[in-house]
Amino acid sequence: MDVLTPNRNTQYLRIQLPTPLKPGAQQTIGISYYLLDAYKPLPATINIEDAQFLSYSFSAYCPSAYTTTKQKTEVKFAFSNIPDYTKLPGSGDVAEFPVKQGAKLTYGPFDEKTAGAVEPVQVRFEFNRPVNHVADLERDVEVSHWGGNVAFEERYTWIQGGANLTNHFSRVKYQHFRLPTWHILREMRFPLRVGSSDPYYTDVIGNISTSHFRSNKREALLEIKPRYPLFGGWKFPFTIGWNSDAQNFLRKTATGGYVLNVPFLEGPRQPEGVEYEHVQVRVILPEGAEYVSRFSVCWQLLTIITTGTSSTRPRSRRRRSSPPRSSSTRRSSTASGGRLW
Amino acid sequence: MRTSAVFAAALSLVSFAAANSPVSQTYPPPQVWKNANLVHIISAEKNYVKENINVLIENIAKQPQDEYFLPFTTDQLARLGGVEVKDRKDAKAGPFVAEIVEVDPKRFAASPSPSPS
Repeated sequence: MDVLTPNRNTQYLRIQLPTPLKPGAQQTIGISYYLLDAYKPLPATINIEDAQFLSYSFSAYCPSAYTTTKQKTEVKFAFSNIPDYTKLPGSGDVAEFPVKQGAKLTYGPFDEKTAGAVEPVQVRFEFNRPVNHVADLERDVEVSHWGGNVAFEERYTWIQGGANLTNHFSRVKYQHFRLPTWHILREMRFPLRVGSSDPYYTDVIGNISTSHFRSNKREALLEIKPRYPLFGGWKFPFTIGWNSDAQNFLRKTATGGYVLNVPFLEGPRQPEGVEYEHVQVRVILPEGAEYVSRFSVCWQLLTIITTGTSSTRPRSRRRRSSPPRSSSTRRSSTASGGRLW
Repeated sequence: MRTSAVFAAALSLVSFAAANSPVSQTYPPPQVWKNANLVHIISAEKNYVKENINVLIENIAKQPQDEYFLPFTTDQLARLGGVEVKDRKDAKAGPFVAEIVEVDPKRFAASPSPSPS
């Protein structure tokens, strides 16, 4: 796991400082990033009534391309139950690393380490929550000028990445062990923009009736329950959609153009978090829209889509009139998220 | 807001797939920096991992320096997103540009191994 050994496994993030640093000068920089698919359930399979444990591997010495004089590594968890973690010999008045404080482990402080020094460690911790992983999200925002409407549709391929069930799903056991802090996904809550209306919630079978939409002046909360409780390794593809008055998102400019201002992504608000592997956002503008410009995020545009008045296309299929998922469409939209950092 | 953070992660993850990374001019990175003090915070509270590296860097070269390199494995890179760099002491310090540089595989054959540990 030596990340600095010359092999094809090492890549570098190059950080360009805003101003060059003079010889001998110092600067404190904070680098933050996310890692998805980070954990492995351990054990990989559990019984329906068991707690779920995840493991995470990392280096107790922070991987660096430079010599590090002094360092420490802190690991924070959601629960304080951390049954296993790699132990290292301590230094100074600490006999052994890590030091455990509640739901936090601290490796270090360590003395000087050379560039590329690593010390692989693994932690195993309780995580009695679903591991929400969206393998694929397709989000369409369709502007209808003559309907005065903006229609949203989101198609999720949702995977619960937690520990799989050792045995078959047992309805009896499921009803019996109905604990509140479980690693089963039972509900998702989508806080939509105020003014959203006509929500729908479907999957390949058809309408799913286990949903609730609370809409008033202050909120528009769509609460949905999956068709079945989602255990680790289970997959649930579903679609939600809603409408909103175009005036909530469109405004006219002095020069006669229009500005569309929509959330790039909304998604459910889950206390345990949601991670997205692949996201495709499509904005479908009215036919004849021209001079599309000035995106506040970097986009590469786009396929011209014909909709609406075509006599060969039934009106009722308007929502599905997005282009076929050609590779070029996918490419253009995958580039859309670029350069956000 | 927590949810927005995850979106950022997802978006940048996507960007890696599309990014046309420049080839690094230098391998291994020249030893022009020293990490005088480093605190690595790994947050495993959600179902993704957020890592913070707060580091006091010191220029130990004879010339001014403006490029700092952080190593990742290719496996990590495929799952990496939401990279953000800032000055911990000065919020107004101009934009830090962070980008992945690909190391040309041919350079590996030519480059000397680091001293055995």
